[in-house]
Amino acid sequence: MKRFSNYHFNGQHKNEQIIKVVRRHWFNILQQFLLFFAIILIMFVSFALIPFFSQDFTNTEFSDLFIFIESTVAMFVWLFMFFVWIDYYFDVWIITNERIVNIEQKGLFSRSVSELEFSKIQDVSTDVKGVIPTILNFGEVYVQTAGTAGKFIFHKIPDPYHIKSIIMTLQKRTIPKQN
Amino acid sequence: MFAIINILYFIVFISYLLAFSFIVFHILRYSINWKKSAIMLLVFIPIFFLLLSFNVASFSSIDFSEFININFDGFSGYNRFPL
Repeated sequence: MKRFSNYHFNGQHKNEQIIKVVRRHWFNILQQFLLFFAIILIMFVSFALIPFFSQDFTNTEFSDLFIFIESTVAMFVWLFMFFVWIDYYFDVWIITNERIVNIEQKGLFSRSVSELEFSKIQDVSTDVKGVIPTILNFGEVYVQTAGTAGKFIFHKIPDPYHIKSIIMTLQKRTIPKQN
Repeated sequence: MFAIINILYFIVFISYLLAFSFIVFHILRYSINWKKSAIMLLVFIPIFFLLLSFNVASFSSIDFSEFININFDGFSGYNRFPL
């Protein structure tokens, strides 16, 4: 049962422990869902307002067509909402005791996985810009690497300062102690 | 004309099923937490099939002859498009 509720990912090493799974802040997906909520609201309002424009509407042939159009719109909204959800949910940064794994869902049919070992980290910085990100405490974390990968970026993640401290703590553990 | 409408709806119906298959495949293939993936599927699948069955039922209840019944012979009966 514990295995059912634990996090895991493809390529996880045998003794590798997942420290934290990070996704974009909920405000980011809320912005994308606003359009769908507006469409759903329009659908409900149209159902409520139709009798005011045509009291005999339910007895006309247009009522069946109207209901079909509404159900089609509802179906498309439901499907597109889940497409947006998949794009949000499967865009994830996994911090383990060995490395950082970035699984990036780019649209519907593109996915990239990159990883960064703590020994290759040179610098970690955070960036919180704007009124709403400051109030809701989300922003970017930039991880500067020594390799060709350049910067590893965490986009719009919640509590970036805490994530930075986790990465710095784990990175310090990889530094060999000097006698 | 009715055949064309039915074929068009069949294409839309197939696209619903393809989108459904893609979403379920994606959730199962790339899951990083089985418990949360199970919850997502439990939410998505019943509502999808509910909406799909309602969509099919509403399409079946439409009487398309009321919309495409054009009488070219004259004005006998109710003529929606009088010349």
